[in-house]
Amino acid sequence: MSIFDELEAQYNDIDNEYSSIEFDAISKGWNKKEGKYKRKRELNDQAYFLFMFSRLEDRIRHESASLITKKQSSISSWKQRASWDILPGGARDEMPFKRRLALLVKKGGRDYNLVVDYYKERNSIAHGGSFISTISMPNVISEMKRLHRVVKA
Amino acid sequence: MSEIDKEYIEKRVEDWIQRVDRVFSLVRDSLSGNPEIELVQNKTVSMHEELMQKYEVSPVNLPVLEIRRKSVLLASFKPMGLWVIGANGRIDILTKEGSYILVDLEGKEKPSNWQVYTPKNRKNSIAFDKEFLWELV
Repeated sequence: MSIFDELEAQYNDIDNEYSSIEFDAISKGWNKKEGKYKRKRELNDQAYFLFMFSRLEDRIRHESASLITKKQSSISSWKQRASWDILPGGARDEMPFKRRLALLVKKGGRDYNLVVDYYKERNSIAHGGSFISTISMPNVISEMKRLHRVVKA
Repeated sequence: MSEIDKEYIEKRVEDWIQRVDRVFSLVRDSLSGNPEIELVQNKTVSMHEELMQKYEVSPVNLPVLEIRRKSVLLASFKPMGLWVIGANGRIDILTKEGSYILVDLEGKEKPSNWQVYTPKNRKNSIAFDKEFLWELV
């Protein structure tokens, strides 16, 4: 079972539990409790989204670093290697995230744009805001799993 | 793609109101033959999403639809948002078992394609249609 599968199962358990309580509050006309659990679901979405995106981000950092070192060591012509030699070879080295991403998927393509959208959401949440757009976690989770497979050196 | 300005955002919001209305009409039409079922639409949720705020589009109220059997609540349809990553609108259907997540996978330039993720199966969606609604109640 992958980490995404584990997180997905745990996320679904919690979301269904909160939804059920929210539903119970609606049926009893308890508006305050309904609002409280609606908010809990939003925060749960944000927490699991961040958790999963951090896994995808880590994969992109490692795979891009691996691609760079592979190119640096396999291209013999210095002229052809020069553009790779100026890039950092470590996953933790400083290099903008979107540039790393563009080494692995087509810049401006569907996958690139999707990861950039997720990255904007991640930045919004990580810097104290909330989701810029509404998130449908079932869609997001299946896309995160797919992207995790797609981004490779 | 149309240029994004206030008029464009207002059109998208208007289209969203109509698509929510069509979903609720499908619920009404599908369940109208069942005398035990009562459909109640007396609550609203406010919609004022990021793009509406950015382009100074006023908030709107969207209806919430409740399905009841002999006055007992079975399901509550709550519009959650129009601008959804990977979809074109989301409505949650809250029930005792958990939430069904209803998303429109088209609906922008093509006709709507509403799909549901159930509380028991969030991996694969199913079509939102009359059969689904009969199962729900």
